[in-house]
Amino acid sequence: MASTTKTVTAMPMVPNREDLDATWRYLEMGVSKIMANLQDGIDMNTYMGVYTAVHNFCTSQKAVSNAHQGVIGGAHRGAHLLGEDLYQNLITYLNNYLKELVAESRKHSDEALLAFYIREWDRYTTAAKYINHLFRYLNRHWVKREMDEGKKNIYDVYTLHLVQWRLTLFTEVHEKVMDAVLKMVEKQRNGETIEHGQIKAIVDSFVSLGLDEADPTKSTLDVYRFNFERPFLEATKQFYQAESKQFVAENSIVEYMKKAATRLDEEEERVKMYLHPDIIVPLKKTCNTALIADHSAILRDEFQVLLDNDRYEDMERMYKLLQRIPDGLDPLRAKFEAHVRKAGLNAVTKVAVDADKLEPKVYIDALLEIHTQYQGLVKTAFQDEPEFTRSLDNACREFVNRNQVCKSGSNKSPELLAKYADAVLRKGTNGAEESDLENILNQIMTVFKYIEDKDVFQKFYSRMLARRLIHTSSSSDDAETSMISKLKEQCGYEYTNKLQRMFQDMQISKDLNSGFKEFEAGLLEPGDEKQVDASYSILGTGFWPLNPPNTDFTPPAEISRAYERFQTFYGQKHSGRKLTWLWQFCKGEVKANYCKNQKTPYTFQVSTYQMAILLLFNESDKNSYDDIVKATQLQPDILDPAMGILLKAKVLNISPEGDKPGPGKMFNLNYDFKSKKIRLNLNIAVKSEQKQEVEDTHKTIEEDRKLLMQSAIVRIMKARKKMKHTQLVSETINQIRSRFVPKIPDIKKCIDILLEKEYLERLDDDELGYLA
Amino acid sequence: QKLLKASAWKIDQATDSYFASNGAAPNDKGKENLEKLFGSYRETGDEAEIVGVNGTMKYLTDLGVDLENASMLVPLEIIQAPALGEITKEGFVKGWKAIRADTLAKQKAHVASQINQLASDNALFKRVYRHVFVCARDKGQKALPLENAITYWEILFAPPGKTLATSSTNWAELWIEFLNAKWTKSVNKDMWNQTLEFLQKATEDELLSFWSEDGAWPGVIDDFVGYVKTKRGAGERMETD
Repeated sequence: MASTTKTVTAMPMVPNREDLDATWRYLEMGVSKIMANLQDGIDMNTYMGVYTAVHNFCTSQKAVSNAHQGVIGGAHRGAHLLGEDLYQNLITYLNNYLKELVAESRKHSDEALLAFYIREWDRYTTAAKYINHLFRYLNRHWVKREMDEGKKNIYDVYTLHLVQWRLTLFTEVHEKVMDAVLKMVEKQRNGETIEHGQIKAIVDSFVSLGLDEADPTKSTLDVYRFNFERPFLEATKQFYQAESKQFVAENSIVEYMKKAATRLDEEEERVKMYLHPDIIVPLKKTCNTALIADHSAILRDEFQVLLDNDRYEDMERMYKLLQRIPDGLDPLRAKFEAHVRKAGLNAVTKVAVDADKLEPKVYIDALLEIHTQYQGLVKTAFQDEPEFTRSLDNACREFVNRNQVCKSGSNKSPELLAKYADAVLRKGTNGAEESDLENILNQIMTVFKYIEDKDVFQKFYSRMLARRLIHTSSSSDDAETSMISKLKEQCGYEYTNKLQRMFQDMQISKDLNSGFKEFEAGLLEPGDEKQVDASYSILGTGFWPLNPPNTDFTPPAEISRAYERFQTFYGQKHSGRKLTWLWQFCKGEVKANYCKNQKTPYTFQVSTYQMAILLLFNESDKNSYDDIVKATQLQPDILDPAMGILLKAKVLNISPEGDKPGPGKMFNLNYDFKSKKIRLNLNIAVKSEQKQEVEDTHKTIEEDRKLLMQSAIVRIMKARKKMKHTQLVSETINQIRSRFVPKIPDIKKCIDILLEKEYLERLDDDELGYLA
Repeated sequence: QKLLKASAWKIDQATDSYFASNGAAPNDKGKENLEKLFGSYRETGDEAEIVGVNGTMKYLTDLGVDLENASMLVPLEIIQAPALGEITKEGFVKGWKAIRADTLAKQKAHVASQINQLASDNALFKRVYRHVFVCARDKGQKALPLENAITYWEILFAPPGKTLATSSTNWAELWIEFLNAKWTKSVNKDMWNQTLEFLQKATEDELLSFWSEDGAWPGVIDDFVGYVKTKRGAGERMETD
């Protein structure tokens, strides 16, 4: 407090308002006090004194002004001119003051210099605030007017302080200050603890010095950017370039990735701690370049190694690093895609030793395993990033459609998938739990998504569904419906329309059968022999992928009576509908009462054809081949395999013994038939039949495809009337792609056909025209 | 309608003659002359408004064209004969009226000059070529049996028709060779028309750089290109050996 009194006593009285020199001397003294000893405070008198002196200086001196410069204007002009003197005096004072500071600063370096700078800066800016208050009169009048008149380089008193600081002191010391800052940051980067508050203060100071030349009331970051950010980034770059180069040389890539990740986190932390937020973007960019982009080549090379060794965590690290730099991930995606494709192809090759005997389940499991594995990788390491997912999809599509197994034709995959689905949905083959079933169906859909020839799947699936429905061998109606709705979701109503109709037919048939039971009971007269217990399925011709039998057949009398009754019944219900009997899909059971050594009769499950054959033996123990042909009217290619199974099971014996069925052979009933089981399934599909069916299916697929392409072409041309050939081809591909990927030569063939049929005509310039 | 494009020129001629017939008396006289000339070739038994086989042969001989080569195809195009041995009155009168040739002598002169230009005048050749498909078909058929088509190609691509050959390749011969070896189906209109287009282009650009698999060429042309390329490949290998 002693100093306070000193200050008070040290301040003389406000000088006479007419004496300008004295007034300035007085003011200078006050300003100096504030600059030097602000921490001591200012007493009211000084404050008032200085304030008054400023006022005096600006307003009073017409006389002096006149004496110096002649008559220029009124009082108002006078204040103007005198204000300028005061303003200039202040500048001179500040200059001198700052020059001393510059001289003083040379005594310090490094941290001491920082401390000095910050201390002086604080003192200076605080003082500036006070002085600005004291010179408010000048601000309000002279400065304001000058600025209104558009004079450049005139600032309010506070800003003037900043400007002078920048001009005089900053230009001299900023480089040294910056050096000190950078040294500190480097220390910190090397693991030492620093007093980072200092750096923050420097940043703030540099930022404050940014003044917008066009509008002094606003600040810009120019000074800061140029004098702080730029050297800071440069130093950062050099630091990390050097560090990473050395680190990579001495450590593994994986270690380097860890290091780089920590460094990047540190830098972000640094911004939060003491840097200006404005630096985030360029700093990140600098770090990313020095730490990642400069090493991206070796990082990417390492990626293959990581992939090969399933190093999920390290891949995640790499993903996180490379995603920071532009186009950083593209090469990774390419490598990933190629890797998955290769893995898929290898997996297929492994199971496809013998492509003909390949189990659908083994094949589909192999596909799924790869997909599951790499989907997991995308999820854990690549954060489910859409582009990686796309690469995965591309790879899967490749190896699902073009692999060892599909070498013979791209429709092998959908065929096997459909067969797998059949195995899953068929009763009793694997006994999967309901919940498992749903999972498996979802897995099937996963593979299905990648299948290009969806039409092939549809064909096979519908055939096998038909079989399951006719033979009531579906394991669960719910699962069947669920599967169809999944397919519908993927491919739309049209794709599953027929499948759904098949279901409806089965439902309608059920009702029909119970109606028929009543009808039949009404016909029954007491004493009639027991009816054949039969059920009938009425299947809409257009919806079921089934063909009428390709052989003549005379059903045995027992069955004829039953089916004639049904025909009458159906004719009454729906007159005009034609029923075609699909004998080849019918089956039944017969009881064998004739066997010796057996009390309970055997039950044979047989096809209707086999039943017709066996029933002949009710009349006579022996029948010749020709008798059988005559009675049943069956073609040899149907009859022989059916007989074959009966012979193999030893229900019938052939003579000469061990021969194959054919004209001239005799068959007799085997009374010594023995079997461990009481029920025997003799209705076994023959291998050759299955193969035939597969071939037929493929053939119908080819036909359907031609029609599909032609109708697509006609549709397009009908809408467009005229179109370039190439456009038409690509448009056709677009329309059909959801079903299968048509080949260009095939499309051209269809165009040729349409030209020939005169749906289209050839115009000039490779254009095609539509003919109504 | 289907022939509209193929015979676009016919519309022009038809309109020409339409305006001509609405014109002055001399034209009507021309029509009269032509009808008379037409009638003179008719034989008993020919259908109404038609000259039959014998009359047609006689007429062609009278015109002085060689029945063994492409020259006879020129007048058949002018009068739009619907078949080789048949001329319709409508086609006859319209065709000649447009050229204002109402006497046999005038017609003979015109035909002779056209035959001279046949190999050099692309438009004329194309007209004649395309009409061949129309009159070479059996009645009611849309396509030409391959054998017949090859016969006509041989005629058309030999003088006085256009020989489609470059220094290294006789394209017409190669085409026929290819068809004999690889093609079994009949020749439809599109294939017929596109054959000329392709062979002409091939004569201009031996390397077939104008061709691309995705181009609009019919499948048979694509196959032909494949045939040519394997053949060339084999040839080159032999040379290097």
